Amino acid sequence: VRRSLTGKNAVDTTFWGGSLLIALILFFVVYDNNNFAGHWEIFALYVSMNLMWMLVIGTAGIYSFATVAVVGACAYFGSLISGGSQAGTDVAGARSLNVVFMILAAAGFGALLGALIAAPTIRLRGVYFALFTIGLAEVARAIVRQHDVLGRSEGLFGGARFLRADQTASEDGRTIHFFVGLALIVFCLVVYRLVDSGRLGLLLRTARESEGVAKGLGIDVVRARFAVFIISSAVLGLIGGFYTGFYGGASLTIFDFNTLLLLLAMIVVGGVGSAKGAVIGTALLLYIDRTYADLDTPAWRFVWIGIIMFGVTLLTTRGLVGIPSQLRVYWERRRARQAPGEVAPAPAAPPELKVPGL
Amino acid sequence: VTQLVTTINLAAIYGLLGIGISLTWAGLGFLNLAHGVTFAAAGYGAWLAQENVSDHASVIFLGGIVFGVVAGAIIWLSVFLPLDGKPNWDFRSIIASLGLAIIGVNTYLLVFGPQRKSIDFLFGTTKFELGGTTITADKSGAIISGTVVMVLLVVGLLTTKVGLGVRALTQNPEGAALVGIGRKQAAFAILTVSGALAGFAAVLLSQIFYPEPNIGYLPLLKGLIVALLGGLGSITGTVIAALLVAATEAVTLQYLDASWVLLTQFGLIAVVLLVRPRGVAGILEATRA
Repeated sequence: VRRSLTGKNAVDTTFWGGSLLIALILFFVVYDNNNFAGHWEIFALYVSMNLMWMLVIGTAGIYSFATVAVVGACAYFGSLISGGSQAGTDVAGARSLNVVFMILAAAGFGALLGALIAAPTIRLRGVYFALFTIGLAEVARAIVRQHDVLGRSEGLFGGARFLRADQTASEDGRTIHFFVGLALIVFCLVVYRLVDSGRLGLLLRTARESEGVAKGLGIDVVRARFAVFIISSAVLGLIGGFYTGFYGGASLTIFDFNTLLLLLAMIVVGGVGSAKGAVIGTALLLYIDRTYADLDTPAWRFVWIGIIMFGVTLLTTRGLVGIPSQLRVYWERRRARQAPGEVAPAPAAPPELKVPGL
Repeated sequence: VTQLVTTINLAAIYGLLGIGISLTWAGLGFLNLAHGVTFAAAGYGAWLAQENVSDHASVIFLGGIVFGVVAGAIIWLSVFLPLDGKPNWDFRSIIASLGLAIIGVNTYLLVFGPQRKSIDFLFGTTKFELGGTTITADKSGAIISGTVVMVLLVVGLLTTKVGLGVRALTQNPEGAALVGIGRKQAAFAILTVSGALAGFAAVLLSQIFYPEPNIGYLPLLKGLIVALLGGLGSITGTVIAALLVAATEAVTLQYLDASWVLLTQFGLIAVVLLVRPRGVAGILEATRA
């Protein structure tokens, strides 16, 4: 069955079309609000990171926590090769590398990191791999802190940016950043869709359900896992390049454990394994995060995020996006119990797994 | 001798944390990421006991352990009971415990504020010489009491009925259920005992890790490292891993500095796990898989 990039049915098309419309209305209605432009950049980066993370944690079922480390390392790399320095000479004319080439180089660096991180998956599984990757952000932080060339604790700024010096903090600058962010989200959605619904996604899901069966079917599991890590990490590297393009560089806060927790909460709340879930979860939790960040007691934002994450995990099987199908199954069972004489229709079976070429 | 003492001191404490995480995973298939919050709860419990009841060491220890047990019971009540047996238990229990950890850390921040709380020296301030090295009462006290608690735990696991149930669960969950071992009761025992061990470790570490909201993060990471390196479910493996991790830390502190500790420890993880993907003594995963 050939599926379109926007989804398989009218609900999907409405969701994506509606989301785009809401983004455009919000941006152009709240156009003068500088805060919204800032939030949009973060939203674009987070949604894109979550989509790529979901390819690994959802489609492939590998507990990798290297997302933030890869994006951070590539943001630093992008800043470094395009003239960033510890002092933060954030002058547009001083940049030594065009922003497009900087982003492409960051993506290449991301792919390299992806291959390195994927190597242990040959031997490590489950929580062991999680442990292997959960400390990578801390390792990256320690490396940055020990090297002058990486700016130590002051950050590495002054790299190539999307805006010229005269465009920063201007209406033009905000508009450029809006469409750059939108382009990033669309690109990541397309990559997610192509991998998740394509041949690689099917191979990975088969291996996720049973590695033995996958091998028995002749699937090269190691190769498939390397492929998903390299693809997702290349795009995470690209996102790191966009990060530098937005802010001119990065600081140690990019490796914060809280950022990793926030991203994980977004994925879980939205629903692991769903692009719609990534968008819904990111929008909801980022709204809470940003709302409480401006208040006197920002600790409340993480209390609420924790409560939502905890509640959604306890009450739903596939996050917010899975609630309609969960309710449907619940009602069908309830109806079957109320009418014992009738045979209740079986819940919709999952789509048959077909691997092209097998 | 200095490095050896530091190694044994840290190993005794990391071992207590690692065993809690290891037993919870082996017995229940639950990687408890709220263990750090339990550690912090115990630290605050010890401080509250010191401030409100008495500054006698036994009261401080009791305060820490009671709060650790209560935190373990809360995890049992809020994560284990609602999710056990539900679809995708492995992943959902990890995420729920992480959610609980986020709530806990930020609740501490709201209730106690960001300031560190200080706890008195529990074993006095005396020192003695051994092989040319000065050993403080705090270090020797931590080594002795940590070892005693670990031995008591092993004895409890080997001789009591609850211990037998826990061991059966770690070896074969289905078999344990068939012979009538109550999973809920065993889970309660595992989580509260793990909480008590974390509480004990929190009090022992209170001179290095002063109670503050985020204080559980590093001990959780070290406990996870020790439990996974040891091979989840094996107490012997956990003790060996605790010694390895502590030795790496002691040598790093001696020849490099504190900022290198995590780097060298992750280097150790990489080497050990690539050689033995299921940890030093890991055989359990093979039977669970």
